[in-house]
Amino acid sequence: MTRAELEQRIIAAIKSTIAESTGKAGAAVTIDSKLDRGSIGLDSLGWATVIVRLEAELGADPFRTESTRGLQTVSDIVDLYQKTLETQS
Amino acid sequence: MTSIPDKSSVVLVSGGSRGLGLEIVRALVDAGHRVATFSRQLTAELDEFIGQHSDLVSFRVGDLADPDSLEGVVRDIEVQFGPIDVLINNAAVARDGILSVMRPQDIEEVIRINLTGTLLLTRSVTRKMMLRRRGNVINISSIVGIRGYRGLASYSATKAGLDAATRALARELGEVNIRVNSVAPGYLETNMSESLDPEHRQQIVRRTPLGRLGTPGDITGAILFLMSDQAAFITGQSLVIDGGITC
Ligand SMILES: NC(=O)c1ccc[n+]([C@@H]2O[C@H](COP(=O)([O-])OP(=O)(O)OC[C@H]3O[C@@H](n4cnc5c(N)ncnc54)[C@H](OP(=O)(O)O)[C@@H]3O)[C@@H](O)[C@H]2O)c1
Repeated sequence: MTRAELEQRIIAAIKSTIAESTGKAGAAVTIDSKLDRGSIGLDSLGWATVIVRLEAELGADPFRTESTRGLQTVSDIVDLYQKTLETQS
Repeated sequence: MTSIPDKSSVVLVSGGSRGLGLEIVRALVDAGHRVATFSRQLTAELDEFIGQHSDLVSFRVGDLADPDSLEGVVRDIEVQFGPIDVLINNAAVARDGILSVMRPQDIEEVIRINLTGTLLLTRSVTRKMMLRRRGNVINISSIVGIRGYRGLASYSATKAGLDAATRALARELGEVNIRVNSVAPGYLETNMSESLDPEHRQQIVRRTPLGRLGTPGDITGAILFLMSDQAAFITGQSLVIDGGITC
């Protein structure tokens, strides 16, 4: 999977989780979006749902070993998944 | 304070290097007890305090996750101060997060340190207390062990586990005159609560009938009471000290 595809999959997973939890589709999420609740609108359970959803889709869960500390933007998340997918393959 | 025992006791406090543990060490020394403590790392604050009271307080490096180090800690303290009269199980770690995506190693670490390590230390100390037919164990648990707080499943499990162990041990050891109680603080102003975001903090204050977070001083008074002869008929109890937030 290319980096661009991975970005799209992750952004899509975030958007569908936001849509499910707020009942409103079409949230603006980009690769530079900040992850805090005020910016993106997901709380800790929302993020947990994103991670579980991505594991089902991508077969990878970087947070099995990595900490969520220090992650600031969607791009940081993509980096982590990319690294995990590379070591898995 | 009237609840302070006349005679000086030898007290072992786990995790006395900072936060509530350090305040417990200070309060015990102020009350005239001899106090030994351990944690994985000495802090400048505790080091300074030891410098001022070197005959009454001592520190060793010890890790609740490493049972062998605990045996060594207990042996050293007995050599320095004599038999341990009181054990205060204070050391703990908190890892928060939604359980379904927590790192398995974090879940295991919290349980290993807070529960298994604490039980192993208690095992080692109460063995000696049994032979002397007296002793006192005080477990520092938490209100999260009695009410649900999201994001704290594994930490809460260890605290509820400690409260359950408190009751079981009180029954096991009552016959040999060892009392076992726990103190369950609400939110305290310590390093552990520094990570609370301001909004959450305000919410806690609003929900607390006494309108503030607890201070370590709110807890040390209860510990001195439970250690004292005034509490001679109290065992197997959990004393909640939370400004009323769980009432
Ligand atoms: N703060 C609160 O709001 C609050 C509320 C309710 C209950 N409590 C309870 O109160 C107690 C003290 O909490 P605190 O807020 O003072 O925590 P803290 O500031 O994080 O201090 C924890 C202490 O435990 C030691 N410790 C941690 N892991 C250890 C290990 N593996 N082996 C030996 N020592 C270890 C630490 O030293 P090292 O890291 O150097 O080992 C430190 O001395 C805990 O049992 C906590 O659950 C706290």
